[in-house]
Amino acid sequence: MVEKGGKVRRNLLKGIAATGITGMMVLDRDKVKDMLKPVTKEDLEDGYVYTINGEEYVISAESPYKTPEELKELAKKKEQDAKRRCMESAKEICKRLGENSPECRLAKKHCKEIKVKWTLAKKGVRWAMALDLNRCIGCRRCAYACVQENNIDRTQGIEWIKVLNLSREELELIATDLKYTDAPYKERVYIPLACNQCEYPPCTMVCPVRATWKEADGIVVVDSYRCIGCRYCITACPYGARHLNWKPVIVDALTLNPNMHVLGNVPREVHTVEKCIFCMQRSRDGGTTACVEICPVGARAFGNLHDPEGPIMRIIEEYGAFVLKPYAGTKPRFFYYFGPARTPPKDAKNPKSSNWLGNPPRPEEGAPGPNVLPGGEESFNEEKKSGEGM
Amino acid sequence: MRSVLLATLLLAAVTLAYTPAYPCTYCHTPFLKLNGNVKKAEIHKIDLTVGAHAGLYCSNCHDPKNPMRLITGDVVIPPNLASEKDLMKYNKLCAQCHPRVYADYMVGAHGNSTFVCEGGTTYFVIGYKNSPWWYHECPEYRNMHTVPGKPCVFCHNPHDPVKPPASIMPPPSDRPAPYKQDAITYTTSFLMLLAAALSIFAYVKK
Repeated sequence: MVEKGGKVRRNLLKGIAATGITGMMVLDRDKVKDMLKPVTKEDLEDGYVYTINGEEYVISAESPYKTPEELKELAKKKEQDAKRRCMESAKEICKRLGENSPECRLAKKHCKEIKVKWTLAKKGVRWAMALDLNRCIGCRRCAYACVQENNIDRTQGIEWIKVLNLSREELELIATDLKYTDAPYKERVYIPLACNQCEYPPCTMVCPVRATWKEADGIVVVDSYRCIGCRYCITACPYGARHLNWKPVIVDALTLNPNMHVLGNVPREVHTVEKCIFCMQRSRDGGTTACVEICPVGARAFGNLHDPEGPIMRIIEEYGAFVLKPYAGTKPRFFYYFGPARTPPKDAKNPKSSNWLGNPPRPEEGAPGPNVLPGGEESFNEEKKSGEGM
Repeated sequence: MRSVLLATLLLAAVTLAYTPAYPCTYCHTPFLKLNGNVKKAEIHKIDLTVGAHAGLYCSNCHDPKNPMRLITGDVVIPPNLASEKDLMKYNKLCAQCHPRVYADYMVGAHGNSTFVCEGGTTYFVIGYKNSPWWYHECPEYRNMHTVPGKPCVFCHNPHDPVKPPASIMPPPSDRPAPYKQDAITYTTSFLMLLAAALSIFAYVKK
């Protein structure tokens, strides 16, 4: 019995070896070589390059959708889904307000206009944002314009941009005041905070189902069809930029933005995570983000980090910039800087003047030179003299 | 005859003075010249003794020979009559003293840029929490073009350039309270009580 079993096994091994050898002989030699080539870091960064209409686009190597066709199919599915949900809402509106009401017509028009795009990342582009903290007045217009642009559910209290109100003396993130009702003040600094689109995003590393990844132009996206709502990424994110839809997302046909992207602002599913995507439905097709567009003081700048004549490079070279939580090692691409001029705050002594701090006027001719601080040195000397006298 | 002529002249003067497009040449003839040290123009409600441009005189920006023109040679158009293209011309005058800001402006780092699409329109919407938003209605939402920021004088009044802060929007909303879980809590407590009773019963019977 033992001998028989051994024979069978030996024959089986022989067969496997023979098929393997013949397979190697049949296969193309170059193909085998290609298969054995190790994947380098550059390959992973470059991703898969596709040329569409003469322009080079890249799909990230991390993405589970490897070809444009797969993304196109996904976009088609999501468009159908979005249109169905929109029509349900439109029907409800029409029932409530009548078929001939302008709201009903507008809702139906919005539903027809829905276009889910699948625009790929352009090669050599790395989106980044810069924000002037001296100019920001903490008005939260960016946060609410973002809600309207990205079809965020209004009933769940989700806002992708949070404006932190910190002490100007020490930018201590823990001591923030989110619910302020009056701004801007002299001693405060207002920091709008959203996804920092990190170069090494910890949120994508912890995803167990590859539902979130970094695109080739640096935007970290979430696919709501793949997301299972485990919330690991919310815990991993050092900036609190991710939000979970706790209940089914309400699609309101009246306030819907029909300009959508497959991995961006298409209405999300229940129990999925969503986050800032640098308005990829606008930026990838040549526009700017909603927050940049609405800022009343022009504090925000958005552009390609690799563009030497772009706004981001100009700001970094001219004014310098810093990032939030650099010790987290995530290499954010959201730069903050203190610009040359500050918007006069509410408690300014003379808000119409550039000298709103109320500094003493410049010394006139005959007075001590500009190097001497006004009143500073004299008082210091007096103190010294009095000390000597004692 | 003379009285009729005078009356018509008076009427013409009055109508000219009260038309919205009051011609600047009516006063600013080449004979009316600015002195070098003028800081106030009461008729235009301009006072350069206050504000961030307090260090300047009228003649720093306006042609002293003809105040209707700027020193760059551009004609001054009242803001309510000027188009955005006209206002863009004045940018180079601002750039003479603010080259650093102008360089920022040119690359899109000062002031916000926007975009347009072919055959599309842009609506200003007041929506969520009464906050503004630009809604772009485009046929395809593709091939959009970024547009440089607004002209300098759109935000900064050249005679009083400091821009005061805008009003602020309401605070962020909280996550709504979770669903009512009365049934779950009652069932759980009932089951726990039942388990306790059963264990006591089993202990006693033993």
